[in-house]
Amino acid sequence: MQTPPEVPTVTSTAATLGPVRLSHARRRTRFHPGTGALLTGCALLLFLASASLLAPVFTPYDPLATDASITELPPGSPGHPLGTDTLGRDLLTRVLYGGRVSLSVGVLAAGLSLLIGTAVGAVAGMSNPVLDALLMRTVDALLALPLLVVAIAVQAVTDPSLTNVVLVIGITGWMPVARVVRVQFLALRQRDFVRAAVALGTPGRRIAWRHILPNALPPILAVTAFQVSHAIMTESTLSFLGLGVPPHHPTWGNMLTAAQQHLLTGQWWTLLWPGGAIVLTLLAVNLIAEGLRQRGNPYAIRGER
Amino acid sequence: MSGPVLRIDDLQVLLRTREGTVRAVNGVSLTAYPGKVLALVGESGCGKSTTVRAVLRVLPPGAQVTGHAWFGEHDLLRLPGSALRRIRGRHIALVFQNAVASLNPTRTVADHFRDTVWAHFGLRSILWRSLAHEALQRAGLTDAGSILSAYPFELSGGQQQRVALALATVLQPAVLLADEITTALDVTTQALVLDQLRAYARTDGLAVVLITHDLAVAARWADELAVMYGGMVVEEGPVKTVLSRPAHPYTALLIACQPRLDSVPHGVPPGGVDSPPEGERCPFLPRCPQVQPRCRTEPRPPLVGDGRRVACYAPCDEAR
Repeated sequence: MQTPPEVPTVTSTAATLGPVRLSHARRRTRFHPGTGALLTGCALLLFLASASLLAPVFTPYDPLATDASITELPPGSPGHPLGTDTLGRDLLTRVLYGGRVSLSVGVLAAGLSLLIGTAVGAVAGMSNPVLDALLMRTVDALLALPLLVVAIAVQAVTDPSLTNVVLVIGITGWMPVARVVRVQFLALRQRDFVRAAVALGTPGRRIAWRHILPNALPPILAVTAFQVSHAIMTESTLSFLGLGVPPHHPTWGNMLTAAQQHLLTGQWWTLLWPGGAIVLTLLAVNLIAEGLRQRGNPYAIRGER
Repeated sequence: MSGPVLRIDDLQVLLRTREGTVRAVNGVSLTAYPGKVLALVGESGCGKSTTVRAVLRVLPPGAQVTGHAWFGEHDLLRLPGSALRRIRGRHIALVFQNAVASLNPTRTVADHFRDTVWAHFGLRSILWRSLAHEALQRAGLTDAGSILSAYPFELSGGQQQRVALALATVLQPAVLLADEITTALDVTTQALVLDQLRAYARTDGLAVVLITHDLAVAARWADELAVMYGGMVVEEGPVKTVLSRPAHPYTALLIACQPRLDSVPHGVPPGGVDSPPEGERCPFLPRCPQVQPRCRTEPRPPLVGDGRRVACYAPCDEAR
C-alpha cells in the first residue's frame, strides 16, 4: 500500500509568511512620491533663474558689447569659458542675460495659457451644450487666427515690451489647453463617481475642483510643459518682428536662431549653450509636472506604480 | 403606521438615445414608508434604475421626466436645483449599482466622507469622523480606521460596495435608494449587510427602496414588493402575498424560473425586451402565456386592487 503524500501543515506556512499585513494599513511614506522630482525641478529652475538675475556677479562683460579681435573663440578660451560668437560677444554672458527674457516669457506665458485654457475648458465641459458649443467655436475661430497676424496687430498699437510678448503668446496659446481640459471634463462628468457625488448633494463647483480636476491633471500638465518650450521659441519670432526685445539683445530663442547659420561654418558651441539652457529649463518644467502628477496618483502614493 | 415619506406618482421617463427616444419608465407609482423595505424587482431594462435615478434627477442629459415625486410637500421633479442639492444625500440618498466606479480613484475614503458631510453641514462638519465611523460600522465594516485611510483601489469589491452604502447613510437620510447594492457581495456578507440595513431601517425609520433581481433577497429582507416590466409596475403588494400567490402572469413566470433544489426550473427565463412597448397595450402582451381577447383590444390595464394590486385583465387563478 502506498503512503499518502506528505501534507504541509498550516502552522509551518504561517510561520514562514510572518504576520499578515494589509496593504492599505500601511501608512503614508515619509515623503510624498514625486517630492524628489518636484524638488529637483524647482531647484533647477531656481538655479537657472538666479544665475540669470545675478549675471553681473558671474561675468564682467556686457552682453551687447562686440569685440572684433576675439571673434569665434572656442569654448575653454581664457576669459571666455563658453567661447564667443561671430561678433566677439562672450557667450556665457549672453546665455546668462538671455535667461532673463526666455525664462520669464516661458513660465509666464505658459502659466497664462494654463489659466485661461483651464478656465475656458472647465466651463465648457461643465456647462450646458449651448454655452459649450459657443465657447468651443470661439476656440476654433481663435485657432484659425495666425499668431503672426495677432502679433503684428498688437505691435501696431503698442510699444514693444516683454509684457506684450507674454500676453500675445499666452492669449494665442491657451486653445489647445482648453480643448484638452474640456474633453477631460466631458469624459469624467459621465463617470459614476461624479454622478454618485452629485447624488450625495455635492455642489457643482466642488465636483469640478475635487472630483474632476484631480483626475484630469496628468494630460493638462503634459500640455502645459509643452507650452513652455513653445513660448521660449515663439518669443524670438516675436522679438524678430519688433514686438519684444531688440534683436541684438540676447534671448535663448534668438541666439538659437542666429546660431543655425554658424553650425555650417563650424561654430557648434554657439548652438550648444542656448540650446542646452532651453533643454535644462524644459527638464525642470517636466520634473515639476511629473512631481505634481505623482502627488495626485494614489497608486504612486502607496508605492505601487 | 406613519404616512409615506416618498411618493412617486405617475412617473414617466423618456431617454434620448442615438436610435431614437426610449420610453424607459411608463407611469410608475410607488410609495416608500419609513421603517419599511420596498423591493423593486424585474429584468434588466425594465426601468428599475431609471425610476430611482429620476427621483434625484441624476439621469443622463436629455432625459425627459414627467409626473411627481413627493417628498413631504416638495415635488422633487420640480424643485430648483439648489434646493434639490440640499435634499440629495441629506434626506434622500442613492447608492449606485457599480460601487467600484462610484468612488473617486484619486481620493481616500476619508475624503469622500469629509466631502459629503461638508456639502451639507459646512463648518459644522468637524464631527465627520465619528459620523463616518458610525456609518461604516452600520455597513458591516468593523475596521473603520484603516478603511478611512485607504484609497478605493486598496479595498476589495465587497468593501467598496459597503463603503458606498456607508457614504449614503452617513447623514442619516430619510430615504435610501439602493440600486443592487449586494450584487458584488458574497452571500454571507450580503446577509450581514442587509440584516444591518433592515435593522437600521426599523430603529431609525429609514425608508429603503431596494432594487434587486434576486427574488430570494426580496423574499427574505423586503416588506413590500413591486414587480416591474417594460417600464411599468405590473404587480405590487406585501412580499409574502406576491411571492406565494402571484397574480400577474409575469410574476408567476419570474418565480417559476428561480432555480430550486427540489425541482428543475420549469419557467421560461425572461429574455430581453427588444423595444419598450408603446403606451396603448399591456407591455407583457407579446410574451404573455394567457392572453385574453380583451388584452388585444383594450388599453393597458390599470394597477388595481386592495392591499395587493395587479395590472392584468386576467390575473392568475390563485388571486381571485
